[in-house]
Amino acid sequence: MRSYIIRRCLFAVVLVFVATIISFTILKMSPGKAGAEDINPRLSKKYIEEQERIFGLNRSPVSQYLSWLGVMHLIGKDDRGGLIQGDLGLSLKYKQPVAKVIGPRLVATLMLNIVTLVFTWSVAIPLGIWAAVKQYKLPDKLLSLFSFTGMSLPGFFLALIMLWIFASHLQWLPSGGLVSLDHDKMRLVPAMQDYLRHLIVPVVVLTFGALASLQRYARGNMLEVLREQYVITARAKGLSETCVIYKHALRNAINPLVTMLGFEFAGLFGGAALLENVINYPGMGQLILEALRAKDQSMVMSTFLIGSIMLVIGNLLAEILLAAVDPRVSYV
Amino acid sequence: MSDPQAAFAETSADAGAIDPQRAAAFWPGLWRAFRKSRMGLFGLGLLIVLYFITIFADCLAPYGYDDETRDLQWAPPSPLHCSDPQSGRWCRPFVYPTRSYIDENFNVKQGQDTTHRCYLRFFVQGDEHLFLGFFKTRLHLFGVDPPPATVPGGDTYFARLYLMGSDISGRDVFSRICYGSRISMSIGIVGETISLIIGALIGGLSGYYLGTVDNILQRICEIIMLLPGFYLLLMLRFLFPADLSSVYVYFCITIILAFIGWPGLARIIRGMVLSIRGLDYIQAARAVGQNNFRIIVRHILPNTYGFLIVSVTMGIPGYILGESALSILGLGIAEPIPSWGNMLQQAMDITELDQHPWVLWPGLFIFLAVISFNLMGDGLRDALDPKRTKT
Amino acid sequence: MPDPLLSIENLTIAFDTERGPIEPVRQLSLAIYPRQTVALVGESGCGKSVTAMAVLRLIPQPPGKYLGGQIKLNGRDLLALPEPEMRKVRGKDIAMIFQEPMTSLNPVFTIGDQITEAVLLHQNVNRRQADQIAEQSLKDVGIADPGQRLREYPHQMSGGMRQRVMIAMALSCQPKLLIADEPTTALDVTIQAQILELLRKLQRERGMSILLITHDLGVVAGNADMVAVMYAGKIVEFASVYDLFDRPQHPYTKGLFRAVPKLGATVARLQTIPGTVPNPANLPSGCKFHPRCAEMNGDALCKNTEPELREVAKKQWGRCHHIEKFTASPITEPMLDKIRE
Repeated sequence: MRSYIIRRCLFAVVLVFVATIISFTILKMSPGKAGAEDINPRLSKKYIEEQERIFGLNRSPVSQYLSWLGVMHLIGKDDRGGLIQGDLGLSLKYKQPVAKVIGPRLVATLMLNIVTLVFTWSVAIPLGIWAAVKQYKLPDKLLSLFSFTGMSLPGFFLALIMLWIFASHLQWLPSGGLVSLDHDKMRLVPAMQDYLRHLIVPVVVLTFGALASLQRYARGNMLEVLREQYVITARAKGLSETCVIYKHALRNAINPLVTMLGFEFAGLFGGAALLENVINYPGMGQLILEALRAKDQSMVMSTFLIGSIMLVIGNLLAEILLAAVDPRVSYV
Repeated sequence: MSDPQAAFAETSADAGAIDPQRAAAFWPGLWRAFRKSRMGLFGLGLLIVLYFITIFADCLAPYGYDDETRDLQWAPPSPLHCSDPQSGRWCRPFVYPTRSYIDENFNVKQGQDTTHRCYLRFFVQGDEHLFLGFFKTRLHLFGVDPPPATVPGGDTYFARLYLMGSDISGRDVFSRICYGSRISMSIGIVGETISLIIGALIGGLSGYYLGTVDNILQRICEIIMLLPGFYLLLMLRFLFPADLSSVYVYFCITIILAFIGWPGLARIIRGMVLSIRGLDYIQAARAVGQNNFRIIVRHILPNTYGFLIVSVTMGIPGYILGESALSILGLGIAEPIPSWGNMLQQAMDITELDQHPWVLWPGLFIFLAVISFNLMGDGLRDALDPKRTKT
Repeated sequence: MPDPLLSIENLTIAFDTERGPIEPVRQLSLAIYPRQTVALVGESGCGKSVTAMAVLRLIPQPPGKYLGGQIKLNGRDLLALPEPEMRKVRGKDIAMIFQEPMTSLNPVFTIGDQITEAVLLHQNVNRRQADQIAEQSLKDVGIADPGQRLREYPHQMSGGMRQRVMIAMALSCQPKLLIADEPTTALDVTIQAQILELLRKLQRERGMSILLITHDLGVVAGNADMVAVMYAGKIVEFASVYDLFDRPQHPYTKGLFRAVPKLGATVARLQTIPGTVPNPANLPSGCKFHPRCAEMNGDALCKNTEPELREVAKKQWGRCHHIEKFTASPITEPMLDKIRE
């Protein structure tokens, strides 16, 4: 088992590397010069060349990539540390180290995703089990309708509707962003409340979508398990129905769901990206779009890198969790 | 929307195996089983309506998609009066023409001219269009009478039936939705077909030949699937110039989405091939000496149809949503061609949304398109595997 | 004559299906006495498994329904018991083992967990004592190194061993009646023999009764005291095993025996019962066996009226209008060998 984990981790590292190469290649193949947004006919040629030198744009593509990685620094040809040393490069658009810009955005996105994940899971699984136990009755049918709607309603559309109703009509909620304009002047408690108020729309939207499919999946799993022979054996032993469902059946139905946890963690990262752009939430999703529009090289690569890492970690988590909870699974 | 089935395709490919001899009975049997699912039928009905709109958009839309009337920008949905205001009796539905005039401050204003009535009529003559791409005709399903003639130097009159209001340029939202359906409803089919072809090829080869071929192809699939989807979508879009013409953008989006989508299908197909190739009658075919290609085509493929149909149907919404996502960000289909996604761009501005909430209509149609495919896919799934636990 | 341990009287069970209600079990009556093994024989689809599940009230109630009859355990009607009382019966007074050992045990719990769970439920012992009882029960079924086995998971064991574990679990609370639903069908022939011998041994030691559900006449010959032959939801013949094998009365039973290939005999073709088991949704009128009956041809009585179960010889009951007219078919030597003394 341990060797399996190590092998998968190695593969994960390789994968992340490949991701960086892919993102760099795509970037370099895109039309338009890096940082072209800023090019202004009034800037002197000398200034432009100087800028290019600072951002390393005057070198060959391969050399730029290696410099971002930090390989160039190791052989003394570059003053910036590179990825290996944790330096994500310089942002063309913000004229600051990328890490400084990404930091708060990453926190915002993670906050959004983790809150959503917690809500989704703590609600979806009990709902799914309840629906399975009450199959064919009214709660099951209602939940089924609800989950179909949730799976089909585009997140951005729901967000816009919510903003229309709650932000402009009822004025209960803010209309986007993460903080109000006077956030800095707030004391601790109102500041926390401010965060929460801004989080409500994106969290509700994301939870609604994720909840729907997860609940359905939990229900499907549970129903399958309830039909298994060992559930009948458990009843034949004289166990109460509660024990049969919540001890014997649930324990089996949970297994595939645990792996889903990993995938969900991975998927949320990307799923929220579109939403962030539509409601102007300052997270990674909004950042990468800005960076792509501005052809901000280091920023794009760093954002893509972090996204890939999240996904890979999520998948790895899923596989490890599956091996841990299901005694049947053995990894050679 | 994550599809857990793709992830566990290798273990769950119980494709409802049928033998090729009975393949002829497959389709009618499938239809009979599908008929039992009410939700599936509802989805199918909805789809038929949507595709009807797509095909007959020219006729259904009273106005063209870039038919601008600057004076009537942001017009609310036209009030259709059904009864005579004085007597209160029912009469033929009508709208009041809008009078555009210049007030004392030299501002352009609009007001309703209640002295005239422009009645709603069916099968009217409107703008010329190519019906079904072949016939030149001026027929539209419905429209309103023309307004009273504009006297030179006087006020301008418009008579418009804006079922869903008008947008920033005074274009009829309803007409644009009709034309916009062409983008959304077609991109799913086209994209999924491309994805299917690539996925079937790779998945089939991978599952059939196994060994190194399988290893390499599976690693490639895994890498593509493990890259963050939305980010990849954006980046690939930027591979092409941001201001590409709409026709190119359409194909470009389709190809990008298909590129991101094929590994999922390839995985599923590989899983199915794996489970089928071990079946006894495949061994029998080999023992008799049939060559690989024949085995694949005659024996393996027919068993995959069921599961494939479901996967394909459930995959189409991804394309619709992907195109809408790109369009709403301004990276997809560009003006003036309407797509449900790019029409929603106008809703992103909260002040505009507040004053003109009818910009949200296209979103409802996206929802309807997606849910109809989902419902139909679910109905098909139940039809193909009656043992499955269903609602 | 002591009272029967289990007495099923006029049991009728219905199921709601897409094509309407069907009755897999119709006015079935059966009695099992203490220390007796009763075999319930029939082809697939005749309703024997449903009967077995019905005794423990394991039929899921939404599609299933108990339409009538009583199931009396030592005089107590099980169908009238409230659910908590019924749970005390399950696993303690009556235990059940199933056909598929591969799927009958919960894959995510250890063997020990699953057995001690049953023990703790029905017996007033603490955890350690329960573990000891579990270990002892594994020893009783002939599993070597029981202490180690308790910590293992089902997927780590072979089919035969899993079935032994099932038996151990079922017997851990000393039930008076064991219902064995095709316990050996899914096992290899050699393992079959071992499991059946184990069951016989345990029965002798504990003095319990067994309701043995099977479709294999060979299994019946070696293990049963009384045999009930089931067809289309009803018992069509009931006799001691000797009488049944010696002189089968009902045409269906005779057909079953004729269909068994005999060692040493050269035949051009195996004799089968023509036709197939009737679909419970579409039962023939009158005697349910009449379309396939080789003895009678188109008799109006057979077509219109369903016969009653009558005692046709001493302690031999048959359900057929014309049963006295038939001569029993002779039994052959190899079958006699299998009958135990």
